[in-house]
Amino acid sequence: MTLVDLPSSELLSRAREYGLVFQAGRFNIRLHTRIPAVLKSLQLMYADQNLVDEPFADFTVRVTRGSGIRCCYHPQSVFSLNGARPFAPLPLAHAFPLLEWGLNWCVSQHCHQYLVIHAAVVEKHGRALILPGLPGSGKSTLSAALTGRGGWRLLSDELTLIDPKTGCVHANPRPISLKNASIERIRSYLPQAVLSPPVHDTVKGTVAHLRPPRESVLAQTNDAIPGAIVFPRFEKGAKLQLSEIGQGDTFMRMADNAFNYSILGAVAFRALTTLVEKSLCREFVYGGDLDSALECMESLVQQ
Amino acid sequence: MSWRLPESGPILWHAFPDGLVVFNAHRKTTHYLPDAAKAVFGVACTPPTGVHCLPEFHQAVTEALPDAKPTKADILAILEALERQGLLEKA
Repeated sequence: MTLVDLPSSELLSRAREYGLVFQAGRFNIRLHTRIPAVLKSLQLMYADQNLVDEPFADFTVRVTRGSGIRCCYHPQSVFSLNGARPFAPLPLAHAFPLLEWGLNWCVSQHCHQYLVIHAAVVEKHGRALILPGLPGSGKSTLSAALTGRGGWRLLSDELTLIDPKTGCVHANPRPISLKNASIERIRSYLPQAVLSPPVHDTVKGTVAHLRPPRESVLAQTNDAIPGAIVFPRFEKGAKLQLSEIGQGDTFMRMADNAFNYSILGAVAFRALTTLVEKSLCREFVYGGDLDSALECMESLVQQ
Repeated sequence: MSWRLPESGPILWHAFPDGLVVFNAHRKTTHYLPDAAKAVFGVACTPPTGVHCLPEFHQAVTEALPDAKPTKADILAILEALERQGLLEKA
């Protein structure tokens, strides 16, 4: 049974009482919440994910209303993992993005069985295309276009999980986080796309999430072999440019983008050298022409 | 003066065409060594790994970088930088 099959009343009941346990890529999440807007967006964004009947969950998280007198005139939402609160409370309207950011934090800070890199990753013809980049570099917009129209499989729009033992990329397809102008850009580029209601005035501006393609969710237990590492950079109006960069340079930039490189130490060093050795290394500047960008990325996996 | 790989912890390295990446497992730091630094560290790690005196270093590095023609002062500065980063130590 998937999340979309569950009646809203049952969804609310589970989330209030024992916790709603669902699959999100490689992880089982147990969510406790009484905030209807969180469950509504969750059901919309995780529609194709399976409900889980196992007692064990990788992460037990809560999104609750803030307490105290302040919450009477400024309602707040609070994220917690096993009782610990890693973030300051946010306005109640930000509760669903807060859950998403919290789940990213859970993976990046706790899953040291992987080398976790701040990068989107998609796959086609059996080869993974890794797109590392800072917020605003356009990696989410690009991965939305690639998976929505280009026939690529979404592995993640935020966290690339490298298995140090095999060198493969593990999938964790969750909603794609779109920000500001890219929300309307993707809405017009992918008219059939399912987006969550935009949330305004967050620390990242206006945020909306895009439901991952059903095919990507169904294939989430399939690993991918790294094929290319591309550093995207969105510059409004810029001419499309794909240029080769050195592997040593790529290694250092990947290490900078890894969340747990220092924790894994030599294991991460070896995993990253193997990854870079096997991959085409490119820098990609694009100015908003998504069709041309898709053609460019296609050429990388055909090489 | 001579230098060797540090005894405090293992140093891992990997040569890419555009540079050498070196991991200091003791400090858990990573360094990217292009050009002359790559050649100097490469000479230090070439078997028999261990003690090299500066004239030997200079000759080997000059052979590795025939176009750059680094001076002894250039190489000494690189060796001292590598020592500060914990990648080599004085023997």
